[in-house]
Amino acid sequence: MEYAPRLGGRVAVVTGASRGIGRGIALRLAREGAAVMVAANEALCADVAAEIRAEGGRAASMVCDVTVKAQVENLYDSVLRDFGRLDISVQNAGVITIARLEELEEEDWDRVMAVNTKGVFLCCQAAAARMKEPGRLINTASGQARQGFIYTPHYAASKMGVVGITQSLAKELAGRGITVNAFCPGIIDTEMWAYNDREWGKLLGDYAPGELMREWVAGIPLKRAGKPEDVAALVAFLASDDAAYITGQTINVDGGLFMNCPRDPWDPANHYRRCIMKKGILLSALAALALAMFAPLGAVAEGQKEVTLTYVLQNTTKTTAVEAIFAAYKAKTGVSVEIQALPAGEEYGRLMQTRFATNDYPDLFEMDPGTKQYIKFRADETLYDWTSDPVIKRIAASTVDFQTLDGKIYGIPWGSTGSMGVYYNKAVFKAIGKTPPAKWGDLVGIAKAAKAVGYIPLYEGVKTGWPLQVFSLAGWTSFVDPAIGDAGVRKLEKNELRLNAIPALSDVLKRQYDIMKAGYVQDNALSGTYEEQQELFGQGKIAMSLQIPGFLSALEQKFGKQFVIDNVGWFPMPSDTDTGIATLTPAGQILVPRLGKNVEAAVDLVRFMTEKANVDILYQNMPGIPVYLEASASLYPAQEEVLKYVKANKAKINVQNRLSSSFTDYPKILQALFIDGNVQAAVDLLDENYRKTGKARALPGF
Amino acid sequence: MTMERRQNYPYWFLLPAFAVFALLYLTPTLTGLYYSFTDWNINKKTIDFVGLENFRSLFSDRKMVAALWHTLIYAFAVTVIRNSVGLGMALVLNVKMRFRNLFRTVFFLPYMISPLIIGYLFTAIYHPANGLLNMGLKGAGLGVFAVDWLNDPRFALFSAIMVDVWRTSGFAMVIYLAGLQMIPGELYESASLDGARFTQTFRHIMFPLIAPSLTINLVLSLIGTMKVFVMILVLTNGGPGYTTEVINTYIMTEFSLGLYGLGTAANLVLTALIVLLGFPVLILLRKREVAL
Repeated sequence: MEYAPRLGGRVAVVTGASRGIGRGIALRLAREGAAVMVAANEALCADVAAEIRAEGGRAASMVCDVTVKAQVENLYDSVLRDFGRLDISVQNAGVITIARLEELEEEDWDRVMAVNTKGVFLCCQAAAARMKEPGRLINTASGQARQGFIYTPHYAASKMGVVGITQSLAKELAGRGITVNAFCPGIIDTEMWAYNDREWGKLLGDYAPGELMREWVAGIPLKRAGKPEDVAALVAFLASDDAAYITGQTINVDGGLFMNCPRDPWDPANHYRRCIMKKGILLSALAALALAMFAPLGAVAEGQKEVTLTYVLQNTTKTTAVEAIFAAYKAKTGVSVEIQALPAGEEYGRLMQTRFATNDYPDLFEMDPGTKQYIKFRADETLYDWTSDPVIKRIAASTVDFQTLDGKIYGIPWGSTGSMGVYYNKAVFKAIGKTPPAKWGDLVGIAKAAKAVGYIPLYEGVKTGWPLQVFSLAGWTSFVDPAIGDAGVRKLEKNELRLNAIPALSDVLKRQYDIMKAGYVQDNALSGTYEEQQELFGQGKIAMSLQIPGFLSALEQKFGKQFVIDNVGWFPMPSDTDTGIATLTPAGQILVPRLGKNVEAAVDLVRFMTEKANVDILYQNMPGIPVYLEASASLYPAQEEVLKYVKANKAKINVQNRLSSSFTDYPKILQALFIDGNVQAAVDLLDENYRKTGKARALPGF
Repeated sequence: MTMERRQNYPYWFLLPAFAVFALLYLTPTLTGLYYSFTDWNINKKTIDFVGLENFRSLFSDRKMVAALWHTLIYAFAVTVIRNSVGLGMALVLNVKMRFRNLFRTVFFLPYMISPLIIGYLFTAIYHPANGLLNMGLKGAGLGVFAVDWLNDPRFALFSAIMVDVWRTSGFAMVIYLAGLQMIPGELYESASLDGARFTQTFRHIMFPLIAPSLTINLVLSLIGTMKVFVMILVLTNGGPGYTTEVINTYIMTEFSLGLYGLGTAANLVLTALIVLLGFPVLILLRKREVAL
């Protein structure tokens, strides 16, 4: 006789599976042979899936908010897509808050009901619609579904609701061979119970951490708190064929805490003892003092124990996404990652080069796009080679091409593709009765009309970020590229064409100067900042902003997503005859110095960062055209406009990212142009610096 | 009679100090001298001797020439204004008055603060819209004078100069005060008996007798201001355009491009300039110092 795994060939979904009971269930179902979709509202679920895979099981993970129907539908659709079927769904996601009646907020009620009750309903609904027969729906209730406990009326209601859902659906789905059961965990040793112990402890008296829990446990006949595995065993049984004749039941798994006894098991004799105020205050003061004295020591000791990776980025970069990802990474590996934000712009590259020159390598760092960075950092000697790493398979082919130089890949793309161009305020355009320009003359007309009624027609930041460069770089694709063609750019790359010998380039700079001279840019043409630009744009005082794609997320942070969706439009620099060619800024990249102290850990971190769950977090925080194949991302209307140009093949990558040498000192050259209006001097200096940099980088031809 | 015997310390006592000096000062100076004649570059594997090539490219670079001029203008302007203001303050605070010591301390205080911090303070003070300076001017009804101090190419260098004057005038004052206090009281007495006015006293007694202070102040000031870097870096970073580029910010750009040979050569030019200007001034001023 052969012993087959109990759930072999079955496919299960477990929600709330990133920690605690849910994690225990996911691991157990996998060990019983089921393929498991590990779902949770945090990226940590990817770790659980990875753990299962590491044990030889089958698992995938997805970040999902069970209160949002679309996300739930998407979750179950992807189960069918990834595993081809669905047999078991465990509705386990749950939250709790604890507060006195007068302090319990309406949001607490709504949130707890939404996750614990509505979430169970939505998942059951989505699962039943896709389920193979015989199916298993298993819902997590609670001891509070047996008897409500103090300070948690919302939680008790939500869990009793789960029992109701279970019984009702058991009757409705019985005909389809789907059983529906619930279980009531008692006191289970999880993070949630640590919270319960703390919060109830505060409200019920002056309990030390763990003390209340110990009292409760003392009241459990089996004299111990439960473990997630205890609960998982019951769920595995309910999910198996052995439980085929059980439906509509709610089963306690609590070591005997609840029986049909008259006593309130939640009420060990002395719960309501009074706080001994004086003693309490004295003790807390002493504890605070002790903490203050020993905290620094503790921190040092901890720092010595653990590996801490340093991740360097530009101080204009929004760090929400990486912070979330690094937190998940720490939870998974114990390795913490410290973010170092250095001054953005040209200085950033210089600082990093200087750090390389002085052997002061960060563990990993973000860098501007393009393979020229390989040359700048002498990649073959200093950078980790990713060419044959599995990570590369997750990246879109065009991006892989862009990252490849002489068959080698040293940079892992990080971010999204966007456009450097004109971001306009739709409300302002509406007010002045204008639409995006069909050609250059229209742009001048819009500027004139905007100025006439007191708007700032065109704003370009000068002191921060990309000072004054956006106009000419966006202008390059519409004016210079058509004039010199790809052949011209290839010549520039080999120093066979001089920048000051391109009339179209001089022409673009002259247009920029003329626009400034005509008073169509902000008054402080030499000192505008990104911050001011964002503020004034959000306030509806600017018609058009010359900007890079990061403008959109900066605006979102300041004025909300809806503002960006409703009010921000984009168009490329128009040419004399048409709407022009879009200038694309490729995703930035992460470089790992091969000579750093923690190379292996850094490489592992990059692999983790590029997992689906984590790139999803990235694109949630930075909507844009993703460079990762599996990533799901949403686009702003302004970005959809860019995408149209890309699809119509009317888009080119920013010329600076196509060349190995650089337009060194470009901001200052353009400032000087604004001061003296001498276009010839500007292109001469640009050419001189370009060739000097090429020579300094020892590029062929220079 | 016993002969007094003076025991000199042995010369080898010098060795530790000399070793440090040789390692940290002589070696870099000499190797720097050599490297300024090479094409040392972050992206090149070998360092080759290129003769005067670096200097040729330096002097044909308009940015370097502009930086040179700005450095000279900066040094000259700061030196003259700092010393005038410092001397003026010293003369006032040499007179017996209430709170004299407090004023002396307060005027000297800026010199104790790091130029970096002062630079950041003044970027805030000079801010065109929210800066203390322009708000004050507007408050006093002088709104027409409220310009964009650091971003208007006409005023940027001047603004930087004035910050340095503010920072270091107190230091000049202290040295002048020391000089003034060395002058014996009887000289003033006899001058006043002869019916000399203040201007005459200043011209014929004070000024000649504080000549050593003047020498020290001028030479220190010239050398210090030609090496200006932090103040410009923080206030304007050489901008807008190249209107406040000085030799040291130019050197930084070259270094950050990885052109170490060229950067070292530019540094050598700066050193030569300081020596060429500093020594004649020193010799000239020494000549007119009089012994009391």
